[in-house]
Amino acid sequence: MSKTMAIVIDVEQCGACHLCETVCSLGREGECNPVLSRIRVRRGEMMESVLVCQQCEVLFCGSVCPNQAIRRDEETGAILIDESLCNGCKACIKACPYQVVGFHPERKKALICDQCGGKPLCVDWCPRQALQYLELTPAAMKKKIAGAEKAFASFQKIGS
Amino acid sequence: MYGWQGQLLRVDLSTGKIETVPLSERLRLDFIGGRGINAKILFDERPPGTDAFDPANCLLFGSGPLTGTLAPGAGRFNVTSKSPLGFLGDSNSGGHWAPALKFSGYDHIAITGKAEKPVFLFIDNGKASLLDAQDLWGLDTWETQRRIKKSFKDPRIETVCIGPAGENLVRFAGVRTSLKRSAARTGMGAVMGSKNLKAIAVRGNKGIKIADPSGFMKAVRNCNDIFEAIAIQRGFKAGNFAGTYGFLWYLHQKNSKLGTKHHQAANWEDADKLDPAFFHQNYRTKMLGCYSCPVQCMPRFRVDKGPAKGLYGEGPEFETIASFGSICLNTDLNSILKAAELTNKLGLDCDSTGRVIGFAMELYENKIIDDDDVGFPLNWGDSQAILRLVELIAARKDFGKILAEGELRAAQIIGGGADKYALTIKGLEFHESFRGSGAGHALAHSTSTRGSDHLRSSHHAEHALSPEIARDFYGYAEAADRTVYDHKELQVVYNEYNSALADMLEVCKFFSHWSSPVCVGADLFAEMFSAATGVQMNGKEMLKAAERAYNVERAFLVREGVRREHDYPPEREFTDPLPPGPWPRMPGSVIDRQAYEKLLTAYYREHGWDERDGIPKRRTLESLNLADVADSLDRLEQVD
Repeated sequence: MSKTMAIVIDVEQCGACHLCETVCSLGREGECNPVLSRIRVRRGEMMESVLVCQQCEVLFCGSVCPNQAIRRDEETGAILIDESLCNGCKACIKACPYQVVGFHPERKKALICDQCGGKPLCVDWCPRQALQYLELTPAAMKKKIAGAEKAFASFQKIGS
Repeated sequence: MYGWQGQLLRVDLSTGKIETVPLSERLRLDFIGGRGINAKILFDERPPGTDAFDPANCLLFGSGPLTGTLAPGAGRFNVTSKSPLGFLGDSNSGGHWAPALKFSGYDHIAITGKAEKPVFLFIDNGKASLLDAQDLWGLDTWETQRRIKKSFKDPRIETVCIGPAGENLVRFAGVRTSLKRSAARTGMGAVMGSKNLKAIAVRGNKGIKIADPSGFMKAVRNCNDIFEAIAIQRGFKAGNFAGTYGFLWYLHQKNSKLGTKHHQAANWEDADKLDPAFFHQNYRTKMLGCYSCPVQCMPRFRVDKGPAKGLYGEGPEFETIASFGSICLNTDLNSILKAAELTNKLGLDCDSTGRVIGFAMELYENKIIDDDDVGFPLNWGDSQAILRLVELIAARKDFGKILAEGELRAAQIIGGGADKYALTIKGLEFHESFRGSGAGHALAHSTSTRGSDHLRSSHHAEHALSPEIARDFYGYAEAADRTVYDHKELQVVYNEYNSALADMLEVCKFFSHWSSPVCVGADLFAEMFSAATGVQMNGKEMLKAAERAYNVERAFLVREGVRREHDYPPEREFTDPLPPGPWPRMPGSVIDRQAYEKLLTAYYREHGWDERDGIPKRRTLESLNLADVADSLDRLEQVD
């Protein structure tokens, strides 16, 4: 039986090493390049943040997609893009409330975290406990929301 | 291209000419990257004998083939030039600038000339330009970085820059990025200042291609796992304690290598007053990592109450605490953190700064200088005097003008026997005393290509290894005995190559054999290197490249006039016994001159250098594919 899973963020534990970005881009796009990462790290003075798709209950990105390229995997809760349908219009990027939809500059396709099909590389490589891959129990859901709010607040302060 | 970006940016500040050239195959394969490639370019392109502040001097910034990738602690870079203090200037820093340089499209930057007015170099995704920095001139390193980010409205821009100390040509001014990451030693910030170059800002989205991603990930994971176990065991894994300050403070005290009272002693009776546990419990707020680091040894701190309320920053490292603490007999932690903030913002090397102040305190104690010379009393442990001097040095004002020259030159200016107290090796301020800490230690620091320094070789064997492990690893159990001189050249030379290799790959030395034989050795580095670059090399070949780079550095020194006389500890190490104490000591607690002479000769022989002056022999250089270097030395009629 599959479970609804999510990447839960704890910025207090993030040391801003960018390993998550680097392994995401290497594992998924074959090169080390933060721009191609589906997870984002930002550093400011005395502050840093990490953010990744929060699988919002309301699918903002999917609802604005003119080609219905974005859907939620009903079993795992992951957000999936059908790249063959994506026309690179960037509507989802503007719609994302956490500003974590990326864009591949050459393929001209949106980049959204799909949890690596159930084994997220970023979580696996995070040397601290800043990223955890958890089953979304009510307690984990609370942790996820609190973590994301905190991370997003820092993100906005740093600017992106 | 895999691993490297394959591009070198050439900038002539005198003409404003900017040119992108390929990073040649020979440089990549023979010198790997970072420190190795920097050394070769410096040797080839800087006119021999050129003064550090002459516009013709070259200033090099270099990242490595693993920089910006997943490799552990591979976010580093080297800055290399002729040192204003001595001979070879070369300094290494972590942080986040080097990966951003790679993402901007370049591995290395070679700078010559001098700008007419202050400028900064901006590399924007493959396009480089020189921009006016007159508004930035005079600003501290923190404000400089803030202004540059703000002017481009981009918090992701990474900047290396100098502070007022570099602008004022303080001979030990360093290069800073973020709040405290520093390529601080050997005065590279002063060379930048002499060229009217305030900063180098970089950004880009040019990814680093990896030849075999899954093989690379596996090799890196292997290294990380090995190292993580060690880091946890030794207590410098994030969260466990307070970084290098936390795990080195008492270790140095017990190993008789805690520089105390300007190196008159090697332990400090007041060490408890700077117990890192206090900092850890009261000031430290978080641990942070350099790019791609699984260990993350750097504290962030904020002081919320007491007289230092409002002070914040990153660090401090062990070295900072020693420099402004034990070296000056200062037990006030708040003043040390303030001194650290000043050195970061003003852009000074905290090692040299603390020692220069300790030197002045010693002169004051011995009445070679007095209140009139300094402008105020300068007694041991006077925290306010230390802070005043840091600012005066950076501004080159009053007595600070003399100290800004470094110990060697300051002693000449002051006279009156001050030279007896100036502790330098190849012009660089002394780093540790050897009278308590070991014979291999003495050799490593004294022969280091950049001057007194613990990062050119290593001496873990004399402090951290059991005789059994020493025998297994170095082939002789005495490697672990600090009082033995015989064969110490073997561990010194081996670790010179390991250190150089880490600097050429631009990975953190903490992961390498520099740190301990149980850490990551050349074979595992070779696995990562080969998977990343697609260039098949084994550990032995990588160490050969490191040997090559080390020989180029030595050849550079020889060409600048370095001979046997420059490869000794300061005289005091031979003559003045350490004060008594409960900690381990060398016999008689001085360096034995005769035994050291013999060891030095054995060291030259081990390298394949001539046994009198350590000049690399032609056949040594040729076996390393360095016939061109031998030719260059021949022209000076110095190769036999």
